[in-house]
Amino acid sequence: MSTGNEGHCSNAIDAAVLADYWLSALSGADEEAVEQHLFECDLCGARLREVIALAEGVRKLARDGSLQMVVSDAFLKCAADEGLQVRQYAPPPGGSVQCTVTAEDDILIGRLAANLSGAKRVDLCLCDEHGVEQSRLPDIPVNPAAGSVLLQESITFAKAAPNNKMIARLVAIEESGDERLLGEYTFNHTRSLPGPGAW
Amino acid sequence: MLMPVQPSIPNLDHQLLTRCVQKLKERERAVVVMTFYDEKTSADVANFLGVSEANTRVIRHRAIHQLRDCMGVAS
Repeated sequence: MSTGNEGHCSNAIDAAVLADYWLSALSGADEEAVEQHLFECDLCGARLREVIALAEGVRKLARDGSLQMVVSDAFLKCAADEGLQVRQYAPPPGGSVQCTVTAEDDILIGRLAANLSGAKRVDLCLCDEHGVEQSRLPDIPVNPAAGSVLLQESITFAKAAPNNKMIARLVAIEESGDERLLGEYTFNHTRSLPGPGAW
Repeated sequence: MLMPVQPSIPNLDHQLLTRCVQKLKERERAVVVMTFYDEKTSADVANFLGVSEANTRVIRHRAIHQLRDCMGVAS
């Protein structure tokens, strides 16, 4: 757990271990050792406050819905329990859906149904209206049993976006490096908030 | 002489943090968000990622170090 001599602290505790301490994820003996050290070390106390600030910052970003990422059903339940407004679209594989976002929405989700069994690695490609890949989320977390991937789009981006079409593509990456299409989903976004109709 | 030590992130730059979190790999991002927002245990996160709890802890540690590096507070 120590990183060696640092300033006036001869046995500084690693920030990730301090995060474990804050999360109550340490064993009893390790927790006791960290606590004892924190009683005596201002430097590590300050580092613990940094770690907590970072964690709170991540929590705020998640609550703001401003991250583009793959999330879990547990995440959505947590958001709903917190009173956040979750807008969710679920186009069928190979299909499309008309979508929008309102000022009241906090979280925007695309539920992408796919048969994920047997896929060792899955990438999520985000394409323009012509199907040309613009960005990719490589090696996304997938639970084959869930049968779907939940893509959170940044609500900040969505609220600023004009009318547009976005195509999401789930691909399995085979051991050979070849890609196998798992599903393609088209989102036809219509802007319902005041603002520009085009980029 | 001991000097009072102030946190290095008294006012967190949320725009920088957003960029730093988006720079993480997908699994690292999922781990830190699930851990810090959902307050999920390592077992829950491991189940979502399809990896062991020990692996989840390794991913979490790596992500925290990368976030601190990116935020300019790495030790």
